[in-house]
Amino acid sequence: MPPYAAATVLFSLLGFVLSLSPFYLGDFQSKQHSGRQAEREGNPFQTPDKTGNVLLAVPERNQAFLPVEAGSVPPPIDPAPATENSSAPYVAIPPSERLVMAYYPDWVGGTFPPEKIDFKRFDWIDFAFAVPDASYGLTWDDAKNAPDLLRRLVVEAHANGAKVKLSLGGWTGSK
Amino acid sequence: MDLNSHIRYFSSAVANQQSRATFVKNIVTLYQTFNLDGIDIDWEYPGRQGAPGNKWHPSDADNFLLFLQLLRSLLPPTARISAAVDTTTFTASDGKPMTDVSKFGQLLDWVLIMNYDVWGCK
Repeated sequence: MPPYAAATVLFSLLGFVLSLSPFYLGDFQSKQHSGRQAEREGNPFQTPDKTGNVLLAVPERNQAFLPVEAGSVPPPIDPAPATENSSAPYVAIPPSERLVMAYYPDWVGGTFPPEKIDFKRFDWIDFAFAVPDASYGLTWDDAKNAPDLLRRLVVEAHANGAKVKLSLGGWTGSK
Repeated sequence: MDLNSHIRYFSSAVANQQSRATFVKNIVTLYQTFNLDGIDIDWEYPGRQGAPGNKWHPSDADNFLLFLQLLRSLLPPTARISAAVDTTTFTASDGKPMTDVSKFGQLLDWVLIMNYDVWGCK
């Protein structure tokens, strides 16, 4: 089985579920995302910019947008300008975009450090977990090692074109 | 080790305007400190206790929405927000699954369905 097959199937299904969600019927302007999908699939409508990111052209605001089933090729449209402007409004992710995401839990840090992750396989890594405390702040499941692990994870991920979310919560006893 | 460190205080952190403001401010600080690209919320579960010791309240899901709105407005627009969710919708104040979660949909980029909960965990 090709290495990405299982994950692709899983996320195709997830993408399909998401495409059924009414809020994804909204309009989209443009967004940046990592070039991994284009690298894997050779999507002709994505052009890497000089930072290695890929601009994905999507319909202009107020233009009718119909969600496409995960995996289908979007119609050709003129590329929209990049929106690095931090004052730009929040724009949701088009449902047609397939991404591979995985959790990286702090309890594997000793045996599987962030430097060993093959970032070619992932678009997003979720670091698990930070936990809300009684004073509405956040603590770590592993206060001794987690901050250093997360710092290293972000450095490694960004150096390899992947992105990192911090996951808040989790289930007791998961470690 | 703090014996209470396993307790998830989501419910109290989103309970009112003041707690939400503090909680969101602390999340945004972490986001900036660690140069993150997004925040994932893995609350198991709004409106239900989940693991023993967790705080919860019937208004959790409503408060969760208000929390997400504030978080969305204070994180940079490029930040992505996701949530790990049960195979049913969030539990409403009447104890039943919510019939309309479209407002959550306007705020979340992705949801991860914890399909394994069909068999275990809860």
